[in-house]
Amino acid sequence: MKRVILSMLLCASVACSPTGRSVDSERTRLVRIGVLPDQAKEVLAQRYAPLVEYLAATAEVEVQLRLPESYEALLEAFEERSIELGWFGALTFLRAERESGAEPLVSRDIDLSFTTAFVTSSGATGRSIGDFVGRRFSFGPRLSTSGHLMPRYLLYQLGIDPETFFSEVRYSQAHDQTVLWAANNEVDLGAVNSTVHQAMLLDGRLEAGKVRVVGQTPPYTNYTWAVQPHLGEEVRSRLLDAFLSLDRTMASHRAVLDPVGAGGFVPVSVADYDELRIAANLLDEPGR
Amino acid sequence: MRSVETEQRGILRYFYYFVAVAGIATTFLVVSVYQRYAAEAVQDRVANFHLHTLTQVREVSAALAAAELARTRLKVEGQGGWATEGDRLEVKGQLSAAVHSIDRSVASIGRLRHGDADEKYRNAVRRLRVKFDGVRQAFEDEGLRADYEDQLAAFRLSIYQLDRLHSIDVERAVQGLGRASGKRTRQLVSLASVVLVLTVFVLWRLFVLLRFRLRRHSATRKALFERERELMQAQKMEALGTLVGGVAHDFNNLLTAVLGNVELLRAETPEGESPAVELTEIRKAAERAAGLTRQLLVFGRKDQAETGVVDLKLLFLDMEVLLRRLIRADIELTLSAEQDLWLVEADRVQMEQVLINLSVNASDAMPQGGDLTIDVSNVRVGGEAPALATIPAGSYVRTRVRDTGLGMSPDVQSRAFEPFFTTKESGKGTGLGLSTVHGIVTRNNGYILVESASGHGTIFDVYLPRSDGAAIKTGERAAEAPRGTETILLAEDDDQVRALVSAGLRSAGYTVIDTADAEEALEVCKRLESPVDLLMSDVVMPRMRGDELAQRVLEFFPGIGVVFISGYFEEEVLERVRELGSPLVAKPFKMHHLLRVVRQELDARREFGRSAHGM
Repeated sequence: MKRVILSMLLCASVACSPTGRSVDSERTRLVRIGVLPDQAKEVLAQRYAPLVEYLAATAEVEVQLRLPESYEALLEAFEERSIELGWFGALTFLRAERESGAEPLVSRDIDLSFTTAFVTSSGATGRSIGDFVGRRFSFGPRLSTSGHLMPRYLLYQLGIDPETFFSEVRYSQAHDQTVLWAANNEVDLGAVNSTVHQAMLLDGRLEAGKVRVVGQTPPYTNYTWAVQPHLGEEVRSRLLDAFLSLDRTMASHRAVLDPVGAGGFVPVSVADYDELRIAANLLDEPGR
Repeated sequence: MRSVETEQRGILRYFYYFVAVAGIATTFLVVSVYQRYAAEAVQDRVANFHLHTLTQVREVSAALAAAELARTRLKVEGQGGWATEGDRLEVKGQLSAAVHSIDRSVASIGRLRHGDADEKYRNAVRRLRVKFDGVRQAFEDEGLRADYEDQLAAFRLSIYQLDRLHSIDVERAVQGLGRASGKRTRQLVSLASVVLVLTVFVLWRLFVLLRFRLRRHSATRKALFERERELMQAQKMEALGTLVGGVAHDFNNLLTAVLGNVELLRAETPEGESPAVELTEIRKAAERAAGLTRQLLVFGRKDQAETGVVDLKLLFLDMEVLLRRLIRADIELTLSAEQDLWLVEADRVQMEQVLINLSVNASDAMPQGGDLTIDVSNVRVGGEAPALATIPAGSYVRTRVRDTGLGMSPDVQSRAFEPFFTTKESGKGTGLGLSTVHGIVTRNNGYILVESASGHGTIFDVYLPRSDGAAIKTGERAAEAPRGTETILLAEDDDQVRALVSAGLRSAGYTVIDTADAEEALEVCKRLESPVDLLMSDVVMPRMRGDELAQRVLEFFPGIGVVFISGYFEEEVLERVRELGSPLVAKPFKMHHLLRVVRQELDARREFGRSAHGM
């Protein structure tokens, strides 16, 4: 009888006990970073090297950069806890959040108002998306927020089912590939991350006037740096502070910010992805 | 019946259940209070820290917008030339006021503290102040600095960062409070469910316990009621027995007078002459009346058994007519007896009672009619028959009374001989019939067995040990009465009995001094010059009992004989008489029997006196 009573009291106390964040990684001093493989590995390594160096120095932790082969590999690495900090697109973040409890930490200043552009070659006749009925269309990577989810969500809101509206629907391997397909008339219309489009114009990979924009999504939150849920509060706080301290007015910080296309970083929360979550749920896309 | 210990353990178990319920409820309550306190702390932090800071941050943003507008005007309108110096100064003033407002708000944000606010807030505020210092100089230089746009963007970013830090924490706090509230609700529902289930369980167990106790209470009340009823029945029977005893006593005196006088007349009347035949009939009737009186005394348990050698065949055959009157017409009576039936040692009247009771019982067991068979036979019990295992080996006369009635269930059978146990309707049976039979048979060294099954009739077997003596036949004329010449002091309060006894004694040659009570007898003793030889006294007399009188008379005349006569057989009376060692003759008696007892007592005293003198 006493055992029964003790069990009941134990159950009651367990049921009432407040749940707290794990502190097992409070001792963690090694932060492994995984990034979205949206560019060639060499490009990515070069792009993130200054940031890795900066974080190690400012947050006083050892930082290692891991370059996964694909979006799936990034998610697996996060799920296996072989990385503590990940650079995700919105759709991959939603999956990481669902599968591994990923928690958003910071985003670039531009990521809170991200857009996707629908581009076509300058010689094409269409003036808006609706003019491209029966023509060839390409999204970006299947797991890309800006290349797939959000343009598909816009099409859904416009009443367009891409698989029936267009004569052909493709998925490119990268945003720049989508732009080049549109520029070279390999597809008639392409959905592309606006910042990639702008970057290609700036760095000369795309000749000015080669493509023109016929549509654009409303702003949405896209990329984010997210951490493991078990990451200790102290390390988490140091990383956050390091990101927020990056200042464009300082030359050394500009060397970090410019390669990743950021004017600075801002804190983000799960609520910033509510709209995306709705889109993902609605379209029943892989990001769900 | 459940033991008290088991019941106590049950109650202790319920106590444990209550402790468990109370423990769970208390735990939930403590945790709930703690969570409530934590929630209040969060609410306080949100209201006094986050929202206050956000207000200041928004004011900084608004002031920054005003400052930028003023600066743009200064830049644009300055290039185009001011209409008046006053206009320029006014815009300049607006710029200064905006910068001052930013300064004041940033300072206010810097002063805001809430407990051990996170370092991230302190760092964010520090960055805000640093960036503001950068833009303040730019504003004062009226936009002439080259890095103005970068400084302004950095300041805007720091404002945005601080805004989002607080906004996100407010959002998390609100979500946390919502989750906590939801959790509390779930906990309360869980608690209520557990408490409800346990309470229902405990109440159910208590209900079972209560029901058990009520049933036991009901059974106890029923048993108590039964005992009360039996007690009342016993008291009623006791009163009836006392009444019967008293009536029988007086009746015995009357019969003693009748029988005595008839006997005297019969003695004086030659055999065969008138009215010898009539006197014989009167004597038979009186003897039958005496038998009835004895039955009443048996019923009242105040009888004095007169054991003798009895031929049950003659006794029962004599009763056939009586039995046929007792049982109903729809019952066929068959009475049979073995030709050379052994004799038994028993009281005739009591054996009659046994047969009557068993026959009446059988008759009642056959409401639709049937066969009643009475068979008397010799049996030798060797112990080999299972049913006779309780009877010692030997020779017995078995009286078998068999009916074809309703029979008895094993339960009823096991209680058949219990006093006051009856299956008859209330008022129709005393519950004494079979118990009286059992008592009589046992007192006569016999055994009674019953064999029955519901719907298959009943057999009662009465076993009485075989006797080697000779039976006194009914109606047998008594031997010649012994005579004497001694003096007898007679004390008898009943005039008729006294006259009869006196006459009988005198006719036998004795000298009789009659007295009506003990006092008169004592007076006579005082006056007498020579002692009497024997005191004959009734036992129950007014003012002084016979035994007391005997003791007083023996003081006058030590060593004389004493004979008591009595029709009343209270155990207490018999005990006193037995203590004196004197014979007691039961009323009604036959005169020759009384004379024989008197003679034996006188002879015994004489023998005693001789031996005493010889010593």
